[in-house]
Amino acid sequence: MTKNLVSGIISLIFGAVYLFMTLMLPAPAIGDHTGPKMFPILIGVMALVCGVSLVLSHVLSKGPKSDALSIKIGPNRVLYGKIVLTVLLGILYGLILDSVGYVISTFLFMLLLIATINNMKRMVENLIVSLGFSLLTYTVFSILLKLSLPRGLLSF
Amino acid sequence: MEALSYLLIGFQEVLTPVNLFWVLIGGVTGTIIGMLPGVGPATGVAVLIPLTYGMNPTTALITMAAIYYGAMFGGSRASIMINTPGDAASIATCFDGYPMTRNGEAGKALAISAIASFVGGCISVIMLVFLTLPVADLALEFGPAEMFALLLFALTATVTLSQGSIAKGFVALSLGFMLSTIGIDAQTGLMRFTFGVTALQDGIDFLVAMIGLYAVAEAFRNYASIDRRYRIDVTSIGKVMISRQDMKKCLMPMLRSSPLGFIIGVLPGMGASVASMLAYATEKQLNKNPERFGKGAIEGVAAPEAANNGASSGAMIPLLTLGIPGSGTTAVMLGALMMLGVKPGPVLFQQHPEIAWGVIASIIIGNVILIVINLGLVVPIVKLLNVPQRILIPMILGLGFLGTYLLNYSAFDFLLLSVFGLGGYIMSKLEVPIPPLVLALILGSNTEQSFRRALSISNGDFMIFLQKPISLVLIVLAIFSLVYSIRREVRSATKAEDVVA
Repeated sequence: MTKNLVSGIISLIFGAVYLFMTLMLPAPAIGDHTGPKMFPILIGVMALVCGVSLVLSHVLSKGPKSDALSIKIGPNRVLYGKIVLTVLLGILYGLILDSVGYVISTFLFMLLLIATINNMKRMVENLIVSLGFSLLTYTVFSILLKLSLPRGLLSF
Repeated sequence: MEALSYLLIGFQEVLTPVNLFWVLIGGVTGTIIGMLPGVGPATGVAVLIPLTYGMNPTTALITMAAIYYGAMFGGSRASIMINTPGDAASIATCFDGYPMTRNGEAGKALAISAIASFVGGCISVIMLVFLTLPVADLALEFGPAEMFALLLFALTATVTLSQGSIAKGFVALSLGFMLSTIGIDAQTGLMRFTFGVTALQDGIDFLVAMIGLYAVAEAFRNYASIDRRYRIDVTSIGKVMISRQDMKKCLMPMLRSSPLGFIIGVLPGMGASVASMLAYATEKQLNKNPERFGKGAIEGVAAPEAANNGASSGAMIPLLTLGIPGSGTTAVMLGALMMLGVKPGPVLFQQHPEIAWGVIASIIIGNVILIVINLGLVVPIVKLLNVPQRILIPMILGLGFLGTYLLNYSAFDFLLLSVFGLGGYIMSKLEVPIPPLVLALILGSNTEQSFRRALSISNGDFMIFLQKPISLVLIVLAIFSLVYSIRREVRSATKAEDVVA
């Protein structure tokens, strides 16, 4: 697997799906001459052309491939795990933010995030940093800049 | 002299105590965040945008300008002190800046880089003042066909003029265009590519995409080196000033590099990184003792610093007069301006000259304030380089999430933000460039609308793009740059194979 091959395949998939979805769009009776489908069709074709040329350049190039892609899960397990966990934490943060309130949910998000990144080391430092971040940003944005941030459980 | 009277209006708009206070805050925070290792100016500007949310448009604009210039100034602090450039624009500063630090001349290097940035900023802002009106007037003549051709040329150039694979650049462009077509079609009201998700009806908020692609993805990339720590010995910096002799040595390199940087900055796709490299190479060739370069030559810091700041102002011309950003950082700036309800383009100079010229005036004020900050406060600011990555990276992420939430007060955006962060990380793993995607996303709807309007005028005849002289020239240029760069790429590929064989 090389970077060219993988990017080519991704481009082909996106281009094909996008082109298919474009062709499935209904043709509206009103509107301009060109219609809402022409431009997306051109983009889809562009993605397909790029995809084909990247795959071809992989197939046609002789000799050792200089751009081999290393996505070995094994040694990078921890790194990829941290990234996936961050994404999950981010989504969870979004789910509780409005009901729990900014200060508490941000503190929890930051604490779990820092703990994840730092392999659970230095928990006292993590606690101080996340509490500090959530209080400081609340002070700056909600109190000084008067932007509305949800108070949630602390709204009394 | 029309330009000068407009500039005066701009100054009147900008010069209030409140605005000056925010220029100062924006300049300091921009410098700090642009300086942090692993955090480029695009990320810096993206995560600091929320600071401007509650402000009136003028104050917000000049704060943005101060953050932008601060981030550009800050980028070179890290190059000089720890040899890690904040972005491509400050790579050339490492060549001689870091050797100067190792020679015990960190203070001198910091001083000349601030002075050169200031000189570059001043010279290029003068060129900016006199060039914007003619360019804006010319752009006013543009019909949809010319506008489409211009966008086509600019977007092609971002791919062909930058380093890296042409095909991958176009993959990024197509992805950006695809994202830009999500939502309600402006001309027919048809819902496109929303997958039935209501939150996508208004399209993808490009600031969310940018914070994800730059800030979140950059944080992910830094996860691998989270335990790294930079140690700065502040006492070894010495006095942040230069001698008269050094100033003499650097004067001509600065005067040559500033306009060079400005001109390159105007061109799409080139920007500050090319400008600073070119300025460095030019000065090395012109110098009587070129062997000193790379070992701590003070001219080697002055030239790229003057050039990259010149380029930052040069980039303002296409951004303000045409609404076309040339780099990732200026794209983020454009996103921020549009969020404030300011739509850069020739019409802005006609309808709201006070805003357009307010931005230009704030560039001047920003430059003055930044040299004061960077000469006077540089030692305490540089101390922040000691903050370990394990604390810094989560904070950047936290600011990214906060900024995203404050955009639309929508938790759905957190999902988008995370997806874009992941996407940006995968793209950098595959070496697919991110700027073309961001530019296509922000310019996509404009491109499509001008394409369709031109075709409505011509009743569907594609020849309209070739019949208008300006559009013909731009399309020929786009094709030429494409053919040329593909030939270059094929040649270097066959060469590499010959070596292997």
